[in-house]
Parts: sequence; structure tokens; C-alpha cells
Amino acid sequence: MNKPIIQLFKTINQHYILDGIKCEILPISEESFWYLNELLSKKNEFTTEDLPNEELKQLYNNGYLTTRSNVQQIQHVYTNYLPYFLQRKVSKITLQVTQDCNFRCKYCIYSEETNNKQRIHTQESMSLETAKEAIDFLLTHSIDSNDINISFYGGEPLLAFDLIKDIVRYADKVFKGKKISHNMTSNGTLLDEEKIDFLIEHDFSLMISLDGPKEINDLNRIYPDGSGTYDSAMEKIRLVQEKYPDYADKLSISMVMDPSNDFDCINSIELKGEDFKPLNLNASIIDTDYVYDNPLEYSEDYIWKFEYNIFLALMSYWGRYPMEKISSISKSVVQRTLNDSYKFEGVPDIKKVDIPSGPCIPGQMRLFSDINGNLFPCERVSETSEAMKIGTLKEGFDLEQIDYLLNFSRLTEKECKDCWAFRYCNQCAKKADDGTKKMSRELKLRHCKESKSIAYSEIMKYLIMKEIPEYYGKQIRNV
Amino acid sequence: MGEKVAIYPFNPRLLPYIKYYDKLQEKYEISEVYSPRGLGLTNKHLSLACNHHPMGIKGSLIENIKESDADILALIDDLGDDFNNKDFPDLASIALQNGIKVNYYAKGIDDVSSEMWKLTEDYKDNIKIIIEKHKENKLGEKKDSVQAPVILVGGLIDEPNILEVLLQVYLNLTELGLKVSVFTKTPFSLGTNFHSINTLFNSKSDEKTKISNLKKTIKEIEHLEQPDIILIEAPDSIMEYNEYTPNGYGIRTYMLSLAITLDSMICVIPTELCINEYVEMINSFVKEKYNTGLDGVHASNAVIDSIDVIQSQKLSWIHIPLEEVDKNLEYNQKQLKIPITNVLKNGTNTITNNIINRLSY
Repeated sequence: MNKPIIQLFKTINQHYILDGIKCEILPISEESFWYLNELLSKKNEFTTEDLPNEELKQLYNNGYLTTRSNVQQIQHVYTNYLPYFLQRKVSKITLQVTQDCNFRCKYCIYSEETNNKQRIHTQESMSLETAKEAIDFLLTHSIDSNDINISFYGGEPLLAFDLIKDIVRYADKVFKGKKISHNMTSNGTLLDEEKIDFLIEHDFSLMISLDGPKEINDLNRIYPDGSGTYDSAMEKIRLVQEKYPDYADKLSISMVMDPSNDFDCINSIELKGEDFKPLNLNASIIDTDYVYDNPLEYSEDYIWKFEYNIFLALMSYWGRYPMEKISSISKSVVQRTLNDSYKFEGVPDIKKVDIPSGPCIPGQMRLFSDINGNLFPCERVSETSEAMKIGTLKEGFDLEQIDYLLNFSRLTEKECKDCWAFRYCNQCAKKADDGTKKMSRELKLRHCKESKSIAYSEIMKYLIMKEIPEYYGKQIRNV
Repeated sequence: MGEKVAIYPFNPRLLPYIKYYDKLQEKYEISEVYSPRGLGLTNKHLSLACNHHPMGIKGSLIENIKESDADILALIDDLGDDFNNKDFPDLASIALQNGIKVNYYAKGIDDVSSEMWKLTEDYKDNIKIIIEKHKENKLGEKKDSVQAPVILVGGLIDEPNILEVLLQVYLNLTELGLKVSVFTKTPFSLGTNFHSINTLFNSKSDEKTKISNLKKTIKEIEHLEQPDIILIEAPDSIMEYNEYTPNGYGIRTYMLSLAITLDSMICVIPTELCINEYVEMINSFVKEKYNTGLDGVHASNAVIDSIDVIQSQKLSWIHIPLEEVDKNLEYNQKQLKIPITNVLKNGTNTITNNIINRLSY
């Protein structure tokens, strides 16, 4: 279909066009907006003769409203430099120190019940030999990295605490002369004073998983006997807060939200006075990328209450609603909008050789080693997928597969070229992973709607923020 | 053969210095370079740090100091801001006990630990603490500015290739029989009469005083050394990367340009940005901000990691092989008046000649 590659936006004050090739957002008249809106929604072919006004004619004459993409080849700009990025600038590794866990969360990627495609629970742990091999691997691939990060992941990593101690001591020795930091994601229930002392001594960023108030958390986060885990996790969080208040300030809470629940109920964990520092809460939706046949359900009470809370957060940003009544989940959305404004300003136009935004350089931005030393782009991808295995500690990186993942948009070349969200796409290679080496075009296309919807929503928030002048912003917000 | 010098800790910034050390002076030779284990250069060519061609010296571990036959251990404390130097007094002590003299290049007087001062009492003649200070210039105080032409070597990012270009130009100029005074960001200057510009910026004085001290110091060096040319390494990146990734705004270089008049600039630009239109844009920027133009561009083998820039708002880069730089330059063959070259393969003759020709008018 011969349509301009554009997307339209309408706020309370203004009408806009985003030109998907020039990657510019321009205000347009109401007349132009509705003409283009109709053009996009109907089956009519686009012809320049029909352009109804001078504004649209001028836009067309200046290279906007193009119906054909500039892209001749889908290729990531770093494709030719891929070997050098991987040889020289890997700076993070996440070690799966154990596959064992003392929880049996229903949505867990290890769960045999809901998600056996990704990985399974075993009682196996990484050997110290493999762990040292991983540290040495990072050393030899990080000459151009000034900062090194080693993360510990499970199962429940605290089940392998002695191993973690050995790894940290070894890494401190090996990386002398570079800045080194550690992260750990844990359910927190195995924390004790000895462990906390060690984490503080070695400057660990600790993220504890907790999904909301007891009634929400205990729906999914349960012990093998089916009992809830909220009380044990909270007991340990309070231990940190009481005995190590400085460290408690740095503690993060990872909250996996199940959108089939009521959003207000999830959100009430802090508003009910549980006293988490507002910015230390990382909320995400249950990961169902590998659950192909059972899509996530969003309840009515989740959708409208979430949107309403974002509205309140925006109002509070402009001083029209008390900030203390805003949850950090909502605040973080507004914060992200402010932080991400650069994504929509000075965006380069689409080039002849280009690629939709979204994919990282697999293995370079993050690198995950399973207990056996198999390498994956991160801890969120399937360990059983042929596509996602990007090498081993012993044999090194599989450059061919990494190149394939980096340029996975070639699976949907035609659709990507004609998409207004080319520059604003957020799909990573995982979205097309069906377990096979070459991945699935159909799966990738299935995620396009979601990706475009996120881009649309981000741009709308950006435009709303931009319409309100920031000059003397603090004073304006207080009027 | 001169006195043997061992260096600790290695930092990629030192690479050009180590590479040209024998040509820069005759009194000393670098026998060992101790690289912190985390740099991944143990038993590897140090040039790997910047993906340059091997130059002979391999990194070794400081633990080997006991077996060293060096005459001097140079402890250099002004390179990586984050380097943990707590073990310097212990290392100095081991060296001194083994009959090795110690030169300690400190960041500033306040940064020298009490243990280090104690060693200067115990081993008076064998340990030196070297701190570059600003110099007064009473005689030439009324003189408006320095008289010798000033060439600034700077870059878009703060990388060792800048010092590489500076040292090559220095060697070219001295081969031509010119006398050159040199200011670099590297405090290690043993055997050369190079000066460090760092301390002038590290002081706690206000900006006005810093600029004034820069001016006095450079004038005093001019007075003492009577150079034909003054060559200065830009103290920071000459322009900001973007407003989301703060990399110094070029503020120190701007302060320097207020202290003295710059006559010429050589710019080091990552190879992927060495496109004629972009180089011309930088030239216009330099003319406007620093009141001088570009007389040459070195296409460096750095490629900015723009994904890291987006993710972490930090400017970082990788070093690609030099052959890739040549491929890029071939692709952009259309020549400008400003020579763009890969100095590491082609040397700096073209750039130096360009400067000499222009300054001779």
C-alpha cells in the first residue's frame, strides 16, 4: 500500500506528525492532521495531487511524507566492528552460581509448571573452576573497559554464598587496577548478618524480589510447600533496615507485577507505609516472552488504575497533586519520560544502511554464563534456545550467531523498512526466539504491535511534557 | 646505555611516552613496565592497550619488583583518577630496600601520604617526590603574551593518541633543528624537560587564578627555555560530546586558550567521524571558540561505543585495528585543505609541514 511512513499524534493543545524517515516530530494544522488521519485509515492510495493545503505540499516538497524507505540494507552500524567490541569491551558478566532455589514462584523462568521452555530447576551449582574461567574470560575481553561488573544470579544465589565469596576474592585480585562492582538479585530470605557484612564490605548492589503486599506477593512467590514467602522476605528487609540503615538506603526491590491483579493493590505496598525508598523500586511485568500459547491477561482494574496513577504522577510533577501520594511505580514512569526525552530530539534520519533500534550487541552489553560455562546475551533469555547460545567460556564467542542476533530485524526486513517506529523500536532478539537457531519471523511480528504501542505512548508523554514550558519550571510548577 | 627505569602503574596514556622514550632523551631506558593485573596486559605487548602494533615492551606484574635490575622505580600517581594507590608506600619501601631509587610523581602536595613523606626521611637521597607547580614570571609579567607560536594538540575524546601525535610532531620539529617547549598531561617526564599541565588545573584556586597561573607558567618556561615553538597537549576534550553525556565541555582547554593565544591546532578524531563535512564543522568550531584553525587531523583508531553512551550516559570507546582506520580513510578520499591522516602509519610529516608553512607567513 502506497502510504506515507508517518504516525500522527494529538494532544489537548496540538496536532503532530512524526515522519518515520526523517525521524522528526512536527506540529501540523488540524486540517492536515485529519486529512492524513483519514489517508492512513482508509485504503486510498497516496497521491500528491490530492494534498489539500499548502502546509502538506510544502512538507512533501521538503522530503517529508515519503512512501518509500531509504533503507537499502538492514545492518547494524557496528556489524563490521563486532569482533573488536567482543574482543575488547565486554564489561559485565552475570554468573548463574546455582540453579537451585528455596522458592517455587509460579511465574519463574525455571518453573516446570508454566515455563519449561526456558530452563529448569536443578540442585546444581557452578564449580569454582568454571567461575574462575568466567572471570578470566572477562579479563581477556575487557581491555577497553574501565569499569567491570560481576553479577550473581540463580536460582537463589545466596544458596551458593561460599562460592560467591571465593569468586569475589578472586575477581578483586584479577581486576586490580580497574573499578569493580558487584550486583546480586536475591529473594533475600537467606540473608544474615555475616552475609550482609560481606555484601557491604564488597560494595554489592543488592536487589531483593518482592511482588507487592502480602496478599499479592504470596499468590505467586511461594515456598515448595505452597506457603507464602512475604513474611520471611520482609523480616530480612527489616533486618537490613534496622542494623544497616545506610545499606538499606541502597537496597532495591524488584517487583514483578501480574497485571491480572488490581493495580491499586500491587501499588499499595509502599503507600501503606512499608517504607521503601521511592526510587529503589524496580517494577516490571511478568516475563511471558517464552509462553507462546498463553498470553498475559491484563485485568480492567489493572489497566485503568495504572493509567490513572500515571495521570496523577504527571499532575504531581506539575505541582497539581501531592507528590507523597504518588507511588514510586508511577513516579518511575514520569522519571523515565524525562530521562528519555533525548530519544526524540535530534534523532538521525534513516540511512541507506540502517537497523531498527532495540537490539544490544549480544554478549557485549551484558553477558550471562550458566553453571556449565555456556554463554548467553543476558539472564532473561532461554538457556535451551539454539539461537541464544552465543558461545562457551572454553571456545569463546560464536561471532556468526552474535551477528545474526544483532541483525535479527532482517527476519522482517520489509515490515521494518515501512514502519514509522523504525527508530523507536524496542524489540530485542528474544522477541523472535522460538528455540531454533534461525528464530521466528512470525513471533517477531507478533510483538510489533506492542513495540509500536510503547513507542506511541512514550512519544505522547514526551509531547505533553514538552508543551508545558520548562523555563522557570520550578516556579511554574508551584503556581 | 642509560639508567634503567621501571614504571608503575602502566596506563594507556603512558603508551606513546614509553614508545618514543629512547628518542626523547638519552639518559635513561625503560627496562620494565608494571601493569596492574586488571588491565589484562600481563606478558602481553603494552601496545595492545590501544590496539597499536607491537612495540617491544610487555607488561609485567609489580610483584616482580624484588627481582628487578632497574635503577629507578617511577611511581606515577596522576593518571587514572580512580587508581587505588594505597600500596605505593609499600612498593616504594620494597624498591628502596632492594637498592632501587624511587621517583614518585604525585598529583599534588596534599595527595602525598604520610608514609611516603616518612620514606623521604629514611631514604633521603634515594627517593624524590615530584610535584609540578606553577611558576612565577616576575621578569616578563608585563609582557602581553608568549612570543613563540603555540601549537595545541587536542582531540574529541580524551585518548592516548593525542600524546602520540604530540610526541611525533615534537620529534619532527626537533629534527628540523627547532627548539620546542612541551607541556603534556603526563606527569612522568624523567630525562626530558617536558612539563606537566595537570597540577595547574588540580589546584584549589579559583578559575581566574588558574588562568593567571597558566599564563605565568607558560611565559616563564618561554623565558627560561627560549623555544621556537611551544607544543601543548590539550588538558581535556576540545568540545562536548552531547548534552546528555558530559565529558568536560572542553572547559580546561578553553581556560588555556584564555591564558595564551593559540596559533595552530592538531585534532585527533575517531576514525568513523573523519568525514570531510564533519572535520570542516570542527574546524569552524575551533576557529570560533579557540581563535585558531586546524592544521591537521589524526584519524584515531577509537570507535565510540554509542550504545553505552545511550545506556549509561558515559563516553567510552573501543580501539579497532589500524588497518580498519586506513579502510575508512580510503572511503573518504576527497582531500580537504586540512590533512587527515593516520599518524600511526604515515607519521606526522604532512601535518608538521602544513603547520610550518602556515606559521612561516
